[in-house]
Amino acid sequence: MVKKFAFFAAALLLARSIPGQALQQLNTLPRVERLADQVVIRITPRSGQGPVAAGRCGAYFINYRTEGMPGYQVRKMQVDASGSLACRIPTANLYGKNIEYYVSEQKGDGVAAVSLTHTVAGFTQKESPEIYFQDDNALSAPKPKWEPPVNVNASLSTSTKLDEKNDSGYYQQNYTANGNLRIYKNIVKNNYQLDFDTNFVHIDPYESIENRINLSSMMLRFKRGGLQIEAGDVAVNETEFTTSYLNRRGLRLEYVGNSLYLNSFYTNSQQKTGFDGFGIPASDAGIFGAVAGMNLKSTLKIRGMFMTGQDNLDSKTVSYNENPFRKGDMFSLWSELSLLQNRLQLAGEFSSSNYGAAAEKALLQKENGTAWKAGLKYNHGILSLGADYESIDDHFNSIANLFMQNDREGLSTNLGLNIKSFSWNVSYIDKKTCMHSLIQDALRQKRAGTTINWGIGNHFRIGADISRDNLDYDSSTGLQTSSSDMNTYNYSASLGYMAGANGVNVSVGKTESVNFTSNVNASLGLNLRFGDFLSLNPTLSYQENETLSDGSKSTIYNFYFNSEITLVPEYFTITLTSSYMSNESSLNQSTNWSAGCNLNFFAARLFKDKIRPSLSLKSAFQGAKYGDVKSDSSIFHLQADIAF
Amino acid sequence: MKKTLLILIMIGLTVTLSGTITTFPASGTTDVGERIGFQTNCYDYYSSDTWYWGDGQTFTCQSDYPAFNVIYHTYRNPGTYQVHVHRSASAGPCPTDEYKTVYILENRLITSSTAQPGVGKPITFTAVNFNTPTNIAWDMGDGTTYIRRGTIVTHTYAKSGTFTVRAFDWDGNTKTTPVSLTITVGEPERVINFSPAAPRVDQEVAIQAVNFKTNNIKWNFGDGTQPQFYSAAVAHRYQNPGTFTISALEEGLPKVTRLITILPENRSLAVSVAEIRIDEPLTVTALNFRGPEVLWDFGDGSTVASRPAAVAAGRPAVFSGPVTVTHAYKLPGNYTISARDENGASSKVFTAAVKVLGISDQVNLEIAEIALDNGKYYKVVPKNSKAIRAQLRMKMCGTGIVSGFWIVDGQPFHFFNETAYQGQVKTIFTPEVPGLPVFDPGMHTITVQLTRPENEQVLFPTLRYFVLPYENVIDVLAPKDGAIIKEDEATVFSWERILGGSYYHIAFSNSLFPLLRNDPAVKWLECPERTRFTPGEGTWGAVLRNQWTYWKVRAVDSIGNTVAESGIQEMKVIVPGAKVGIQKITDMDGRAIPIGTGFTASRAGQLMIHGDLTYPAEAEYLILQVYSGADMVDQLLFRDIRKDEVRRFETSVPNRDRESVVTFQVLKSSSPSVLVGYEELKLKKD
Repeated sequence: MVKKFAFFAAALLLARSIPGQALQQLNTLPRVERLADQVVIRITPRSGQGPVAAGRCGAYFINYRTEGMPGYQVRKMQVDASGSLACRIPTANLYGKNIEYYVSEQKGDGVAAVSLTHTVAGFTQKESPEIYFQDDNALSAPKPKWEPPVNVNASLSTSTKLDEKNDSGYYQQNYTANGNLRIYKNIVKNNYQLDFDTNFVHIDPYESIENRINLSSMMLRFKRGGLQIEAGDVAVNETEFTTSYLNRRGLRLEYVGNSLYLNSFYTNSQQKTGFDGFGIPASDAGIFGAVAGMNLKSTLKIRGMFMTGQDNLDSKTVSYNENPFRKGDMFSLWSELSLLQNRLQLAGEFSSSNYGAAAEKALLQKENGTAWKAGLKYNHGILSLGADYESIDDHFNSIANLFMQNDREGLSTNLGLNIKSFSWNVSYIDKKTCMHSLIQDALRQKRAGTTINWGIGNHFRIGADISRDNLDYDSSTGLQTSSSDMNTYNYSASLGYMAGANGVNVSVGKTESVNFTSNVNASLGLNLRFGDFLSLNPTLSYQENETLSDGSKSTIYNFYFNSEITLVPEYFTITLTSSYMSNESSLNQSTNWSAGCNLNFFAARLFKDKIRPSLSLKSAFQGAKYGDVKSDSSIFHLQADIAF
Repeated sequence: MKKTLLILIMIGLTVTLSGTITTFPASGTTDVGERIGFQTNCYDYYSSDTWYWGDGQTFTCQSDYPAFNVIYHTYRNPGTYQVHVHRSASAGPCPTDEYKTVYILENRLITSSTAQPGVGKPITFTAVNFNTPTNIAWDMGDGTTYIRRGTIVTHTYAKSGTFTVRAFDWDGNTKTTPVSLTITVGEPERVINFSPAAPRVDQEVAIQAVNFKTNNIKWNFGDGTQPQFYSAAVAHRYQNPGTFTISALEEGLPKVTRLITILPENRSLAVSVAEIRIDEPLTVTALNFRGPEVLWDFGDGSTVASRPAAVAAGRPAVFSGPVTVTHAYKLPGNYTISARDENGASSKVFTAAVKVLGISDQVNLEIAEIALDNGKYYKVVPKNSKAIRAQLRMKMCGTGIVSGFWIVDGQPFHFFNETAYQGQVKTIFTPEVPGLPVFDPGMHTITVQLTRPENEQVLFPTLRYFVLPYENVIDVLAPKDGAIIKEDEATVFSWERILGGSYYHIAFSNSLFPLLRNDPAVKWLECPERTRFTPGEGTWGAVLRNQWTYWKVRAVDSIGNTVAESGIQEMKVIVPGAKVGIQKITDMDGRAIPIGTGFTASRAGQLMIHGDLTYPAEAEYLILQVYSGADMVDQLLFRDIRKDEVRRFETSVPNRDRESVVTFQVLKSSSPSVLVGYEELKLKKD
C-alpha cells in the first residue's frame, strides 16, 4: 500500500513538473515508430536494469502530453513480441502536432528512475482548432428607446459656381439648390399599423420635363390584420399577363386572409413627377383592377382579376417607339396547386383582353385577345425543374404591363442542380413568335443554354453561361424573301470576389450572330477599401463589335474611377473621379475624358451628429475629341450640404 | 413762172457784186467730218470754177453754180485750211481767184476705261465721235493693231510703259490723221482670282495669286482655318456658307484681299425607297453632286470586288460610280449608304439610311423604362450606401446584341453588352461592383445611352439620386459578430435605431454572397419590435446548426426603400447535448474497477477511464477536456463528427485524493468555443 502510494505520488509529481530532477535517470533510448494514427514507443532496458522478460524489474510507464497541456497522460508499457517494452499511443484524437514524453520505471512502491524528456514532432499534419471563448457580455439586447411624435429628416445641398471655362459656350447655372424634406410617422400598436411618409424634393437646376418642387414619394398606409389600405406610391405585381413592374402613384386595398384574398387598386398608368399623380388618378391615364381569390389551406390558390385602364405613355421614365395611346380591359384567372409537400407546384393562367393602341386617341380601336399558360415546378433536394407552355395571341395585351410580348406561343423548360454552393442550370426554349404579323415573318426560336454558378468558400463566385439560339422563319408569311436562319452563340464567364467592403468582378463574354455580328466584351470592376483611409472603385470596360458582312469593327474602351481618401477620419476627405472613353470605328473616332477632385469637410462630429453639415470644394475637368474637333471645359464649385 | 422770175432777179443782183466766198456756217469753223458749205456771190456764165479745199481735194463746177448753190465739203482732218477757188476764164466782175480760210476743229477723241491702267489689266478704249464708227483701225501703241473694229476695243498690255493709242477714222484710213490717246501702263496689279465664281460649300475653289512677286504666300481663307504658306495657286474647300475674305500676304508688300461668297450646300442623297427587301433593287441618286464620279459605300461591302483587301487594310469598302446607282442587298439589316462627291476628293460624307427587311441581328426597341431600384426616377441614399442601382427594362423585337453604357453625372460609367432574345423582356442593371458613385454628397444624375442597336436614337430620361452627407450604418448590438449561440438559448437580435428608418428587416443566409449582393432571393423578415428581433421557432429552426450563418439588418422607409443597412454579421448556432459515457474504468494493468452510482472507489493511484462521446449533430470539431479537480489532465480532439456517431476515447486520471471529481467538458469549435456537453465522475480513494 505504501509502495503504491509512493508510486503514484511520484507519477503525480512527474506529471506536474519537469521529471527526473531528483530521481535516478533511466538510461535508455526510446525508439519511436510512426504508424497510421498511432505512435509506438519502444525501449529495451539494459541488463543492469534487469531483463524484461524475467519480470524482476519494475514496471515501465510512458508519460506523454501534447502542447498546451499541463499534465501528462500515463500508459503502462507492455512487452511485445521482440521482447522490448512498447506502448502504442493513438494519435487520431490528440490535440496539436507534437508529443512530449518520458519513460518512468517503477520499482517496488515508487518511481525508481525516469528518462530524459523526448518529443515526437509532427505526428499529424492536420490542424487543430484554436480554443478560446467569446465575451458573453455582447449577447445582451438594449431596451427600446423613445420615439418622437413626428419624424422629420431634411437635407440640403447647395453650391455656387466659382469659375467655369469651356469651348462650347454653354455654361452651367451659377448655383444649384437641391434638398429633401421627409416627414414621416409610423405607428404600430396592437394589431394595427399606420404609416405616413412623404418626401419633398427641391431640384434646381431641373429639366424642362421636371418640376422644381416634387413630392417624390408618398405613402399613407393603414394596416390591420390582413387588411391593408395604401395611398401614394404603390407597387402592383400580380402576373405577367396582368400587371407587372407597375410602380405608380395610386390607391390600393388588399386583404390577405387565411382563405380569402382581395386586392383592388386604382393607379396612374404614368410615372408622374412633381405633385402630379397623387389622389384619384385621371380617367384617361389610370388603371383600375380588382383581384379576388381564395386559398385552400396551403395547397390550392385561385385568383381572378378584372382590370381596365388607359394610358398615353407620357411617363417620366419611359421611352418608346410604339403607339402611345393605349386602352384596355382584361379578365384573368390563375391558380396554383402545391403537391408533395410543396415540392411540386402546378400553375395555370387564362386571360382575355380587349385592348387597342394607336398613334392618336381618336384612332383607338380595341380588339379581343386571349392568352394562357400552364406550367409546373418541382423542387426536391438538389434537383429543380420547371416547364411551362404559353400561348398569347397577337391581339392580347395588358394595359398594366408595358413589356407584354404577344403573338407568341411555345415551351420553355429548365433543369437545375443545386449542390451546396454549386448550381448548374440547363434550359431549352422552343417558341414561335410573330405568327400573325403581316410584315414580319413568323419566327421559330429554339434556344438551348446552360449556366453554372459556383460559390467557392465565402468570398469567391464563378459563373459561366453558354447558349445557342436559332431563329428560323417561315418565309410563306410576312414580307420577307430571305430564307436563312440566324444562329446566335453566347459565351460568358465571370469571377467574383467579395469580402466585406472589398469586391472584385471580372467578366468576359462573346456573342456571335453568325453572318451578322461578333461582339467581344470584358469588364473589370473593383471595390477596394483600405481601412478607413482609402476607398477605390475603378471599373474597366472593353467592347469590340465586328460586322461580319464587311469586316468593319468598332472598339470601345472605358475607364471609370471613383475614390475617397480620408485625410482626417470623420472630418476631411478627398474624393477623386475620373473617366475615359475611347470609341473607334471605321467611320468615326472619339474620346472623352473627365477628372474631378473634391475636398470635403464633414462637421457632423462637431454637432454630435445632431445635424450633419459638410462643405465641399469641387473641381471638374472634361475634354472630348470627335474626329479632329476638340473641346475642353473646367468648372469649380463650392458646395454646402446639411442634413438632420 | 414765179421761179424763173426769181432767178432772173437774183442773176441781176449777182452780176453787180464783187467776188466773196461765204461759208456755212458763216464762222468758217466746224468739226472734222462735219460738212461746211461754201458759196460765192460772183459768177461767170462762161467760166468754170475749181475749188481747192486745202486738204488736197478739189471740186470743179460751172462758175454760176456756187452762186446759186452751196457747195459742201467735209474735212477728214482737223486743221486750218485755205479754201481757194479759181476761175478758169473770168471775164466778168469776178476775180479769177478767191480765198477763204476755214477752221476744222477736232471733236473726236479716245477714252479709256481706267485711269490707272496696269499690266495685264484689260483696258477698254472707246472712240468717240468717229465718223466711221463701224470701221476704225486701231493702233494700240505696243505693236498691236486692230483693223475694221468698232468704237470699242479692249486691250491688255503685257508690259508697262507709255503707249500712244491711235484710232484711224474714215474706214480705218491710216492716211488720215488718227485720233490719239497716250496712256501710261503701270506695273501689274497683284490680285486674287478664284474659280468657280460662285462656289458652294465643300466645293473645291481654285485660288490664284496673280502678279505676285514670289511663290511663298501666306494664305488666309477667312473661314477659321489656320493661315499657311502656299504657292500662288491653291485649292480650298469652304465647309460653311457665307462671305469670307481671302487674304494673301507677301513679305514686305501690302496684304491683298478678296471677298468670296460661298453658297449653301445643296447636295443630298435620295433613295428610291426607305425600306426594301433582300435582292430588291434600290436606286440612290446623289442630288446636285458635282461629280463626275461619286465614291459610294453601301454599308455592306458586297459590291466591291476588292472588299477583302480593303477591309484588311482597314479601309471602308467603297467604289466609284456615277451620281445615280442601283444596288441590291443580300442580307437584312439597317444600312447606312454614304457618298462622297468628286470621287472622294470631297471629304464631306452624305448618308442615307435604308432598312432591308428580313431576319437580322438588329433588334428594335419598342418600349423601355429606366428607373432606380425603387421603381422611381428619384431616390435618396446615405453616403457610401450600396442600396442603389438603376435598371433598364426593354421590350425588343428580334434577337441580337444590345450594347450601351450608363452615364453618371454626365460621364460614361459602365458599358454593358447583352443578348436580347426574341420575345424576351430584357433588364439590365448597373453593376454591383463597383456600385453607383456615392462618395460625394449632393445630387447625382444617371441615364443610359444605347450604342447598339445603332439606329435606335432613343433619348432616355435622366434619373436623379441624392447622396446624404453622412453614412447610415446600423450598429448591431447583439449578438456580437462571430457569436456562438446554443440553439436552446433564447437569442434576441438587436440594433440601434437609425436616422430615417421606419421599419427594420432582418435576413439570414448560409452564405455570404446573397447578403453582400442583396439578392432578390434573400428573404427579409419583418421586425415588429423595430430595433429588436426575436426569432420564432420556424425562423430559428431554419438556421442551420453548427455552421456559420450570416445575417444583416436593413432599415426601410414606409414604402419599403432601404435607407440603411448593417454590416454582415456572423453567428453559429450550435447544438448542445454532447454526451460523454463512461464505459469502463480500470487500473493501469487493465483490471476493471466497478463504477459506483455515487463514487467509484479504487486504491489505484492512476485510473484509466474508457468512455465514448456522442453528438446529436454534425460538427467539424469537438474537444473533450478532462479535468481532475481544477487541473486539466487531458484534451482530446475529435474531427468530423457525424450525427449521433459514437466516438471512443480513453484517458488516465489520477486518483490521488480521498475524494475527487473528474469532469468531462465537450467544447464545440471552431472558434470561439462553446461548451456543449458535460459529465462528472466522482472518485474515492480507498
